[in-house]
Amino acid sequence: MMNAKNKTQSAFVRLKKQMTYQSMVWIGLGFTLVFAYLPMFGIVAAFEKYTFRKGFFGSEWVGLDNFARFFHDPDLARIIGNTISMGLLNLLICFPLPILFAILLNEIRNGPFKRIVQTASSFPNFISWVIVSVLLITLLSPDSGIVNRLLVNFGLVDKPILFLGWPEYYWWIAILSNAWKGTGWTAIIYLAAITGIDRSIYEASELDGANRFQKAWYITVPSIMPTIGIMLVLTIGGLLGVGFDQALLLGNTINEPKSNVLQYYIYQKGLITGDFSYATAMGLVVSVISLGLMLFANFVSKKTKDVGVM
Amino acid sequence: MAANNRRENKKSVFDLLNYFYMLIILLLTVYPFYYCLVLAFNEGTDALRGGIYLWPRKFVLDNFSFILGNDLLLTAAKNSLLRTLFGTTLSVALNALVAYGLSKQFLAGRKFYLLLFAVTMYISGGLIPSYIIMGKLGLIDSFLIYILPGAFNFFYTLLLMAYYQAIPDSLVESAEMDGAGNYYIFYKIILPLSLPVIATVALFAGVEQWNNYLDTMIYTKSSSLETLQSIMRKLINEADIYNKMQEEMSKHGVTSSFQAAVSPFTIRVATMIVTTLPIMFLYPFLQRYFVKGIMIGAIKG
Repeated sequence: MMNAKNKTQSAFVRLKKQMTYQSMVWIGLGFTLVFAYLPMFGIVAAFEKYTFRKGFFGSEWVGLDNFARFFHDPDLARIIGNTISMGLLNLLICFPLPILFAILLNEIRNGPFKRIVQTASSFPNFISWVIVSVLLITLLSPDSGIVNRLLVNFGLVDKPILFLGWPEYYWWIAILSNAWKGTGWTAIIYLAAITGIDRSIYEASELDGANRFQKAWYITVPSIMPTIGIMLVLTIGGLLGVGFDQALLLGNTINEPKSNVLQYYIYQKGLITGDFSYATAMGLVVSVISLGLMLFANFVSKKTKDVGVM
Repeated sequence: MAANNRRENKKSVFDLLNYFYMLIILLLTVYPFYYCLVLAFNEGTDALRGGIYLWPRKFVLDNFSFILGNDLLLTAAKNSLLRTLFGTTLSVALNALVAYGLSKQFLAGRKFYLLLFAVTMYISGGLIPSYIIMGKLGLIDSFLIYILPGAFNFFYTLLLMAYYQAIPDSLVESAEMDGAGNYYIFYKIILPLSLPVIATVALFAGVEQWNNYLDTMIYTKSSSLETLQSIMRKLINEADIYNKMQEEMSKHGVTSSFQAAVSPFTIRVATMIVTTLPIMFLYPFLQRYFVKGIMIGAIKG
C-alpha cells in the first residue's frame, strides 16, 4: 500500500521534474503538427472538388473521381514516360558515377591535389539549381557559348546547336547536369566509408600479390556495400522526383514534350491552372509510389545485404 | 624482377591516366564559373558575339555597378541575407532545443515523439495541400513563409541529438545541484559545448536558405519579397524583369550611360557571380563541417 503510493507519487514527481524537457520537445511538436501534419490532412482535397471559397469542409466530396481523370488526360502517359526515363537514366548514370569517382580519387597519393579535387568537385552540390541553369544556358548558348564554338571550330557540327531548343538533347542535359552537381559530394560520403576500411586487409592481399584493380574490386567495393545500399535505396525513393528543377528552369515550349515531368506537371496543374484537386490527387499517387519504391528497395537491400535506411 | 618492373610500369600508366582524369574533373567544375566571371567583366553587347574564353575582351565594371546600384537587386540581396540570418538562427535554436529534450533517455513518451517526427521524413502533404494550408495560415506573400515552415527539420535534430547523447550526465547534474534550471543549463552549458555540431547544422540550414528559390516562386507575389535566387530565375525565364530593372535605373536617370555596356546576358552572369561568391569563399574553409554532418547522418541513418 505504502509502496504503491510512493511509486505513483515518484512517477508524478519524475514527470514534474522533466516538464522542462517535455516543453522543449513540444515546441518542435507544434511546428511539426502545423507545417507537416496539417498539409497531410490537406490531402483530403484529392477526394473533393476543392475550391478555396468552400474550403476542406465545405467542398463537394467526389470520391475517386479525380483519380479516374488520370485515364482521360491526354498528356499524362507522355509525362509519366519522361519521368520514368529520366529517373532510370539518373539511376544508371548518377548513382554509379560517385562510387567510381571515389575509388579513383582514393588512388591519388598526392594529398593537397586530392583535397583540391575533392573541394572543387563537391562544391556544385551547394549552389542552387538556378545558378546551375545560368551556367548551362551561358555555356550552351548558340551565339556565344563556348560549347558550340568548340563544336564548330573542330568541325564536329556545321552550325551551332540550339541545345535547349531540341527535345532530343533535353534528357541528357538534365541528367548530366544532375551528375555534375551531385557526383563530387556523394563521392565524399563513399570516400569516408573507404577511409574506414581496415588497412590490414589490403596489406594481407598485397602479400598474396593482388594488384590495385583486384584490391578495389575484391576489398573496397564489398567493404563499402552498406553505404552503396543506403544510397541506392535513397536514389530509388527519389526516382519520380528527378528533373523537377530542370523542368522549372530549363523547360520551354519547344522542349516541353521531353522536359515535362510529374512533379512539374503537378505544379502546373495546381498552381498555374488552379486545378487543386486533380494536382493533389496526382501528388498523392506519386508520393505513395515513391514511398513504396523506397520501402521495396529497402526490403531487398536488407534481405540481401542486411543494410537499409529504416 | 622483370615481372615486378612491368607491374611498376602499369601502375604509373594508371596513375598518369588517373591524374589526367582528375584534372579534367577539376576543369569541368571550375571552368564554367570562370567562364561566367570573365563574361561578367565584359561589355554587354560585345559579350554576345562570343569568342571570350580566358580574359574579357572589352573590360568594364558596368555590369556590376548596374546590379549593385539597382534597387530591385538590393532589395533581393537584403531579403536573401535576412532570410538566411533569421531562418538559420531559428532553425538552429529550435532543433537544438528539441534535440536536447529528446536526448534524455528517461523522457516520457520519447519513442512516440521520435516516431511522430520520423514520419515527416518520409511522408509529406505535397505541394498543393501545403500551398492551401499556408494560405489558411496567412503566410502567403509574407516574409514569414521563408522562416517558419522549414524551421524544424528532423534531420538536423538527429545530428544534434547524436551529439548531445555523448555529453556526460555528470556535467548537467552538477549544474542542477547548483539549482540551475534546464533552459539555463541548455543555454549556458550545452550550447557552448556543442558548437561544432551547431556550426554544421547552421551551415546546412544557411545554404538551404540562401539557395531556395521555390518558396519565393510558389508563395509570394510582391516584388518586395524577391530574393537573389528568384530574381535570377526571372532573368532566365522572363524577359520583362530586365526591363523592370532598367526602369528602376532610369528613375535615377542613369540608364543611358549603361546602354551599350550591359545586356540581359551579362547582367545575368554578373548576378550569378554575386550570388555564388559568398558560398564560393566560405565553402573551402567550412567543408569539413559539412562532411562531419554527413558522417553523423550516415552513421545514424
